[in-house]
Amino acid sequence: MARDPFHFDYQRHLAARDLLPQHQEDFQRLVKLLSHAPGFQLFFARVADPGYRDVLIAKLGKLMALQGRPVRLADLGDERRFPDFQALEAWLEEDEQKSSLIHLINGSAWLQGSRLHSLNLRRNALAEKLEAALLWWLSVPAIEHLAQQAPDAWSWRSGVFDFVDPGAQLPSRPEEWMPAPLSLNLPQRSQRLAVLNRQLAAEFATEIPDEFRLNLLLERADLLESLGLWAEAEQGLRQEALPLAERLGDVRSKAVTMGQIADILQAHGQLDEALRIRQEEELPVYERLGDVREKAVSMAKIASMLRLRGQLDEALSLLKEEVLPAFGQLGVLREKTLTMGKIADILQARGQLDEALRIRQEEQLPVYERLGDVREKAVTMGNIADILQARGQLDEALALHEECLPIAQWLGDIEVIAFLKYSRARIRLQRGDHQRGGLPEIYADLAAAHAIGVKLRRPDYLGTIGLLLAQVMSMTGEVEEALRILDQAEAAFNQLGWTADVAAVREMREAISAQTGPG
Amino acid sequence: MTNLTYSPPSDPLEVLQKLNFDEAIGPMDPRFVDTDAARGGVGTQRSLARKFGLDLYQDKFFPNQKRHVLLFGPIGSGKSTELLRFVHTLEQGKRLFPILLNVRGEIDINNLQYADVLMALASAVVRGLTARGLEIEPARIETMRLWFQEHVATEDNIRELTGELRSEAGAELTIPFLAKLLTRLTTTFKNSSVYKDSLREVVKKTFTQFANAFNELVQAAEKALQERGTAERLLLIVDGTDKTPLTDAERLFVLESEQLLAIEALVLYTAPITLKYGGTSVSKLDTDEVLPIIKLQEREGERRYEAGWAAMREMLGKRIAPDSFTDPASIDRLIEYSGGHPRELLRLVRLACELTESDPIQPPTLEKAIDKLAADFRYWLQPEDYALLARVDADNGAHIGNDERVRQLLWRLALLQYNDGSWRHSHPVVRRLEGYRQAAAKRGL
Repeated sequence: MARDPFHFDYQRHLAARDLLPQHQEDFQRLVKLLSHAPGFQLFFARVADPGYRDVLIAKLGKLMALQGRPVRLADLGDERRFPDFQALEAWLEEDEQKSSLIHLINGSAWLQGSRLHSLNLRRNALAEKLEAALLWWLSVPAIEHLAQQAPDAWSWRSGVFDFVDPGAQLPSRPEEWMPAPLSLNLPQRSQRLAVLNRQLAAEFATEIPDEFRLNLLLERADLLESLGLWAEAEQGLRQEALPLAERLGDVRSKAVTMGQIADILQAHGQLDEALRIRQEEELPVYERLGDVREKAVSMAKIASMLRLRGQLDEALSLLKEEVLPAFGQLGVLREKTLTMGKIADILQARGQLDEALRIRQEEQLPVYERLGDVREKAVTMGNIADILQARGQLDEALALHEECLPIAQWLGDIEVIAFLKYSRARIRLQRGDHQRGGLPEIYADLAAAHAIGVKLRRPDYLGTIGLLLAQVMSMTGEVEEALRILDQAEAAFNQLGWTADVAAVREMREAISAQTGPG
Repeated sequence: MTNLTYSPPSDPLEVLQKLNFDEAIGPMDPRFVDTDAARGGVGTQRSLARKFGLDLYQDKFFPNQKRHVLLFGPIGSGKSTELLRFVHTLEQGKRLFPILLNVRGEIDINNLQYADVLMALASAVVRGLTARGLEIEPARIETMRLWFQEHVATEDNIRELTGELRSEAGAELTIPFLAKLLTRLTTTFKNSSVYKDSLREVVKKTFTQFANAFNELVQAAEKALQERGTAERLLLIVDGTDKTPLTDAERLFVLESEQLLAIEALVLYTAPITLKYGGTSVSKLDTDEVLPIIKLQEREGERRYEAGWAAMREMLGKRIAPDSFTDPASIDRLIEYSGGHPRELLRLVRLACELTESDPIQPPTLEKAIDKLAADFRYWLQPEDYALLARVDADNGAHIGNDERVRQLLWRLALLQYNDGSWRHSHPVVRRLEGYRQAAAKRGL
């Protein structure tokens, strides 16, 4: 067993890195229990796709092997081998390796009749004989059936793990201007976080001088944001970093901390409060300190908020007249290129596609390639794909998105993953793939992207992705759920003040209602 | 574990390792917490003792010849812990000699029948006597010997099982031999479905004789206790019968209650809370006793019940070090969402330890843990359930009957009841679910 908690955390994060982001939390929770919970345990795992289940089983197998713990698997669908519960019980008992984990698969048919009856009868005897965890992989309907119709068997569970629900919680991070975490992929960030957690734990806390501690707290908040743990990041900033910065009288660190809080608020659509922080608590400090770079970053973020509010001219003017010259003067290539990207965003929103495309292809992509900034390269390629799509070059656009997605998944950057999946679904709809059997893939992409929006509480995601997801749901007949998603989308657009989009939601709602008719 | 060496774990992984929901905590265990005041009643021990004619404070003892009492309570509310304490208290006096049988460890609690329970109980009585070095003259348990020789040893289907014991039974039945015999038979009930059925049949077909033999054993044991000056009566305590599937519990305590009542002894059984409102009222068992969960507020909901909060804080503090949380307010947050149910509190702690990516645990992680616990209810709660729960809350815990739906909600902890069942409220985590919120909104909550 990985006794060293640091090593254990590292392995957990490493194993979870290429799972769907919304499943990472439950996967890591499951690994913790498999490694640390005592004695017999029965876990249910909710999974829709057998292929994905097998990926998860393989990952768990590797982790358990690292700990020297044997794993077995029983395919309950094999009627010859497991004709009844007695056969399964005998198989479980004949385990010479003393397995720590036993997977049960294809057992939906076991949740009724004599097998369920036997399971209920023998469960305690089984629990006494086995020192292992039974992990029973079940489909969504099977889990629901179990929970509702078989309370005895259900009450026996030690935990339920969800590898389906698109509403599960997902991670991401706000707009990125600092290069530090960009160079780290997901396992590396997880590893660094584990180190920081250890250093900042109470037992070592007194050994760290306050000013170092403050830096570590800010770095941790950054990492937490990058792992999607925004609430934890905000908590740490408000309750630990901010008081410490105030106590130290460190106005710059205080401004940086407030800036990070504003990042989170901005991503959650709380634009007024975020704007107030930028204008009142960040900009004046950086001006006073003569910190041109941080001042320019703050102004760039203000421009982003103006763009989100639809104030495109003001945003463009701020970027061109204040931010770009400042970065140019400082000679910071990455920040200058990011600013060009923001300018291209606005041009694209205005329909100036040629100029936007030129910036992306000539001023952004080559720089990110040279800098080795894979995240921004992927985002830029996605933006280029959007322009191609707007021009009707759908196949080329789709190919670009397909190219970017594995990069984003490797980075574990779910904000980008959501963006790419949404864009891919949009193109497929536009190509009419849904009329040629492609609806399930489109649905899956949108559901996953929407789930990220839910997790991030990002109103722009909830609105834009939700609008399209509702449309697809209405195609599959899920009218009630579609209307619920539309309600969310409308609230999100209202929060952003995007009135045209609010109107689009209402139109969609009327269309869906008309399609289903009264009652 | 002793008080001198014990300190609660603070590392979340260590907490996970040490949390075992099925473990009952005895009164000498440093993790034990006195919850009498917290539950808002007169005290479990006092109340239980009085059922058997014993006033613990005045040491007055006027028992009935026989009394069969059911102790109800939600699973995980602390019944086993209370029983361990009760046993410890009784052992300090000379009135009742407690024999505690946890059927969970002795027999298979699924598909439990009276034959299994009584056989295990007889075995526990003999073990209890042996442990105290008490001897019984063979003549006093002659009926047991006859029953074994005439009915068990001669039964074709279990000859193989009893083979080596038949010759030993001989003309006299000694306590050591009886201990061996009953252990063998009880183990059979636990491990062998083939012999179990045959043995049950024997007990059922010859129940009058078996009951006589059992009663003779109890009388002989009580006589031996009295002669030694150890105690005046036996108290047989059966724990774990609350954890059987509901249909089994119903069969045992409703349909087969006559067989249980044939035992002339003082007996206390644990029973699932659902049964209190579903059938036992028509049986002749004593069905008054309910172990309520811990009260966190008065019924009106405005005033906190401080004794409840204090006990829950102490309970939590003995399972996880307070500095395991970044924010001291986290402790009360967990307690609030446990609804005063001890095991739900431990489940929340466990979820928080599973979910945390930091040490100490931060408040957002607690919120996730609360959501996870709530999600567990979402798998099975139906719109009608939410409507009913919202109705209970809207009416300030008012009684809304005990139909099948209410009983299921109580059994599965979506509905929690306080103060001996006089009022109820929905589980606090359920109130975070959308289904509940919608139902509550319709009621103007």
